[in-house]
Amino acid sequence: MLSSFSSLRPASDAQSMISAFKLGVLASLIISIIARAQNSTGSAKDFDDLSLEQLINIQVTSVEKRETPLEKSPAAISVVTGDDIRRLGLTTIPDALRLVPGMDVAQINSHEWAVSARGFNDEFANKLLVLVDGRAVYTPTFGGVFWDVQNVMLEDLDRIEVIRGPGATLWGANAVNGVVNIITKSAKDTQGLLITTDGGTVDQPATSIRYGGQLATNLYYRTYVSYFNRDSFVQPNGQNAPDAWNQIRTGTRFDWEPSPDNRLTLQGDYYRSILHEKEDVITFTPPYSQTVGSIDNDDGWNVLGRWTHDISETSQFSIQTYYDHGKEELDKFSEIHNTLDFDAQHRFALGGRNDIMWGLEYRYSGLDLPQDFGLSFSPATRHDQLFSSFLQDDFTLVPDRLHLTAGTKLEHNDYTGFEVEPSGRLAWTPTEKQTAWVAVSRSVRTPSIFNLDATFNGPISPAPPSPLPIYLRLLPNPKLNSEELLAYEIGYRIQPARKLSFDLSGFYNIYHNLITYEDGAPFVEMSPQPHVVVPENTINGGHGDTYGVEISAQWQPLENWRLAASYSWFEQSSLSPQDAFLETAPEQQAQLRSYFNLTRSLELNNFVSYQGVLDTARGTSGTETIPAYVRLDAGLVWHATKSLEIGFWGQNLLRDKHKEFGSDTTILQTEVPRTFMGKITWRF
Amino acid sequence: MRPAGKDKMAGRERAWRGGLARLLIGCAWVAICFSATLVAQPAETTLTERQVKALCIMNFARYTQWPQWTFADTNAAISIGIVGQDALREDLRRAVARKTINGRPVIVRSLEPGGESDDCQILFISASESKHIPDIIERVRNKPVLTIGETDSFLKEGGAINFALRNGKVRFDVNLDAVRSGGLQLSSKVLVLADEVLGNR
Repeated sequence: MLSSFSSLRPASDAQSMISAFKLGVLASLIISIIARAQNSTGSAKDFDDLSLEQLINIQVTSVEKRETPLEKSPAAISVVTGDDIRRLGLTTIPDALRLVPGMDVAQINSHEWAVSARGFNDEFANKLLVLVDGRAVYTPTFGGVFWDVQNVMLEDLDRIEVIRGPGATLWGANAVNGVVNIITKSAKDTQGLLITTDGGTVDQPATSIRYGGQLATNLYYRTYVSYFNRDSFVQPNGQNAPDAWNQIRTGTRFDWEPSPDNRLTLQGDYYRSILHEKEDVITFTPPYSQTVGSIDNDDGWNVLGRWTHDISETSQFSIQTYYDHGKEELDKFSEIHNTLDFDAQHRFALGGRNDIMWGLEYRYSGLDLPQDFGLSFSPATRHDQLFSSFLQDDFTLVPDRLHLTAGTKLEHNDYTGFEVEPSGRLAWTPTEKQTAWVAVSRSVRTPSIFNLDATFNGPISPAPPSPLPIYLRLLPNPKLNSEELLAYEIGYRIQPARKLSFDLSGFYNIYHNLITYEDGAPFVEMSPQPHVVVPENTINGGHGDTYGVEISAQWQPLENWRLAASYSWFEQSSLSPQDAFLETAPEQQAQLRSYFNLTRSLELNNFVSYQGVLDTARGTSGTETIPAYVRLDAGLVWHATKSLEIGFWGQNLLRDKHKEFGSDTTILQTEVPRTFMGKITWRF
Repeated sequence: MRPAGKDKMAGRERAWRGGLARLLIGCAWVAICFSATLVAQPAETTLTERQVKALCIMNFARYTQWPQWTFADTNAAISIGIVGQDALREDLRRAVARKTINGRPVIVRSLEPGGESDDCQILFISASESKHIPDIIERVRNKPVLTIGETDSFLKEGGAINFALRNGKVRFDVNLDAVRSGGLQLSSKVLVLADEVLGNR
């Protein structure tokens, strides 16, 4: 605009007057918008005449609590609280995610899980973005999450927010089917000494110690050490499986509020983990595949810092940076990642109707990857950079009633180039107690480094008869495109009575360019020894639709009794038979939770979950049907004194053992046994 | 610059037409700016949580009766103490500036958690001091001090009025026993607006 002013040479007085006029209007518009943004909340002085009755009916805005209340949010969002985890005696994050409708959680063995939302579940389910306190814990190598090393100390967990559906605008690529946001408590809320110990048939034992203190006014810290030793699960033949593991974890967090407008956080963790594993690997002598046991040593650490500053009552920015280093071993392979991330976000009100948020992010990802006949990456090291930006506007069409949120994310990565992910959501709140919303979004999943660069040689199982060894070889494709999702979502929330509420959401997802494998012609390779190779080319060959419904309800029939229930239904259509390995979510799931405070110091907490039949992959070329199962957990928690809590739980009570997942990887799958556990928590 | 020569007429006409076009564009631009500023009008008045709490505290002061002997004379100021570093202090200072409550001026003081707090008539304990609440309340027990807080267990720990954010609105609950133990009287106008009133009426 300004350049067109300068090109307007004042050919006449009239023209120069007009351009000056336009300049003046533009300037005054800018000034008035800035002034309005600064002052769009009145000062207390102007509202002295408000009576008490009027004051308590004002909908307040406060930058810290600016987040749309959950009840009005135009997304399928659920929260698992620290209290849920405490009451049910849950010990891992994937177990906590079972409580969310529409999440597919299946335990593969003692230390591995398949977790996804709305289908496509797999050990390395790649359509879910998982963050711990703002740090992405998704591994670019395989596109999934190593759940065994995400064990934050659960007593210091504040909540887990799960958004099913694309969270693309704010969260970016790979938040295709959902976002899991794991949030720990601030150091201010975890003061004092806490010691917890639990032991049982699986945990043998687990102990955590945390101490929180105050260094200065508004400067709080906490530090913790956590150790657990988990026993093995059971094989189908009843024997113990070789999948035991133990882990030690330690960390510190500082929270400082130097002034009411500034909040700083600095936190870091270190973990070391030893996993027992068994895997099928290829050999060059008959039977050409062998089950090999290994002891894997994983370790890693991270540091994260964040500064949030309130510029005014309606404007806030935050800057965050983190560094994450980790090493994962698998038999002889080890994978090392180093990630550096910078993120800046600004949120401000514009006029009285716009709530605008925008941000920039830079991420550097360095990888050191295995090079072995079984699994090799080319190149063996990578240095990738990601640049991304987003812009979102929450526009108030009708105050308190109708909100339109529109935004987009624009990213550039080193393998697929530019990606655009727009999203639009409409939220309608006809009455205080109801909200309906619809959304359309486009989201992408960028290929994992495994898809782009890795050659995997594995046994074909079940093995066909042959004079020469036969190996399955997955071939990389550096020219892969991103997978695409176009998601249509709808939802409705209602609170018909003070203690009763319902939440429904439905979705129709259209996927394109899903990464699949295409059979190639087998050929014979002579080195290191003659063998037959059955190649599989990695292509963007999958297309299909999924749709479903998730319903959840909360009811408090008595002052001391709370119930939560949910049901989800999921359908997958039009994927070709060879893409069967992508179909990995049961058609139906249901669950019921009951929290009953028997007396002021005794709780009875129950959890029942039904998982429908599941067709999954098995080995590298078979399928397996996992039968439906019902899980029943029951726990008693006794608040013996103000500082001592004792709990006892039985989990998976109905069956000795049951299988939850098959898998297309060569990792050992075992059955989940019935477990008993006792836990003592001291708080000083 | 003036268009020259025999194109003077055409030139002037061109300049005039160019000028008209620019004038129309200018008007359109003004219209867009103007409507943008209309859109930019605040749709409704909005206050922050802290501002509402500050104004509520003023109202509580207005509807509370202290024992006769609390004040030195009819013009003695009402003193509101705030414990804990809290931006509410600024909002409260702005709210009390040049105001009187029942004829008395109002002053706002910040207090340290361990410091003297019994020469205030109203004591607001911010959430950041949650650990010290029992001690602070103990120190003003049975004294004519109206204690106001904003943490879940405030009333159970002996506080008189507690703020809570419910459905995006600032609400409050009252513990009448705590009010009475200091010899104070709280008008029914306040009690009827409380979400919950504990203690014997």
